[in-house]
Amino acid sequence: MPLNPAFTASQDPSNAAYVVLTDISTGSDGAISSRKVYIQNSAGDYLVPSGTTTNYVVWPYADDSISLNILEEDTAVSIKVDWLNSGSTILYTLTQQFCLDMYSKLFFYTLVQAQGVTPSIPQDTNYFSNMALFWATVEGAEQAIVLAQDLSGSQNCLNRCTYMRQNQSKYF
Amino acid sequence: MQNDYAKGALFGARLTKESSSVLIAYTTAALEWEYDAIPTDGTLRGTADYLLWLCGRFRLEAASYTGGGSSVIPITPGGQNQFPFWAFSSDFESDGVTLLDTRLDGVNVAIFINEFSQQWLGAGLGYFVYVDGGIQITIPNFDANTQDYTIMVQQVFSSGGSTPSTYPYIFSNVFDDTFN
Repeated sequence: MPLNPAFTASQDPSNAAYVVLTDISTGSDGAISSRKVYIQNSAGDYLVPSGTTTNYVVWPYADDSISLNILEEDTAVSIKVDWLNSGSTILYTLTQQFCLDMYSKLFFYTLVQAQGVTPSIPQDTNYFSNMALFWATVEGAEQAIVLAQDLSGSQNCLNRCTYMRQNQSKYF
Repeated sequence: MQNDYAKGALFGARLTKESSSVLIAYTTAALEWEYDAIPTDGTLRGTADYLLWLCGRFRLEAASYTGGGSSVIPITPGGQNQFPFWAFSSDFESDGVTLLDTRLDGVNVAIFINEFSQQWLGAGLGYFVYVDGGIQITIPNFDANTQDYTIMVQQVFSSGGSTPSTYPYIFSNVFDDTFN
């Protein structure tokens, strides 16, 4: 039974800089000996861990998952994984788009959690509307990928969230 | 919310802000995001309580629209309708003194041994102690491997105070086969 390539990507909640890829392929192919991962942002730049000299990362085939320290902020990415044989011939390939927005989500939760402690917070000037804006923007970033695989559109939303998060004293 | 807000046309200003539905929605989203990321986060319960507080009476109103919430699977609170229960010698572990049962997790209990003096026995009085996953009978010579016991286990809800005193199970403080 040939390989049916599949993988997931997520951010590590304990450190959102880390992207965790997990191979969830079904089937098998004894000829596969390694994998290569290419991660590009909306500008087409390749994201690799510090010190990597190639535009890809080797993902040992023996490892079901790999954790890559590549993010500094929420990023919409296109991830391509190649499954290779011992001669480096690509046997299978799969490219998927992801909205990696853990920074924004965890930040948003801390704000809502603070509301729970101090329920009067939403009465602060512009607080509520900015919260609604932030929430809708995160949802928009995700839907841009889910509905249209639109990296640029998703990244635009994420950029707004990042700006609001980094300048939180102005908004929240 | 809209339903309540619309009533304001007849009865005057309502307490509910139009923004309340958005507040509830984004609080729900935040909870889901955090739970997906860090399900063990200790602040989740408090934030969930905040969400319930935000919903307030509308939870009941929503239930009336959804047929009483029949689409939601009711959750039986732990410990409810689980006590009392019978335990027999065959339920004991091979050591003859340890009774493990998931119903005993995290609860205080008293036991009543049919074959014993007719008293409810509390923990920590020389009768039994709590162990991981259940209780362990500490009465000297108690052995479920050699005697048939029928024990009723009842949950105790008292949160404070001392365990009621119990007469010594036998005057000599030794449990023998005659149960006297």
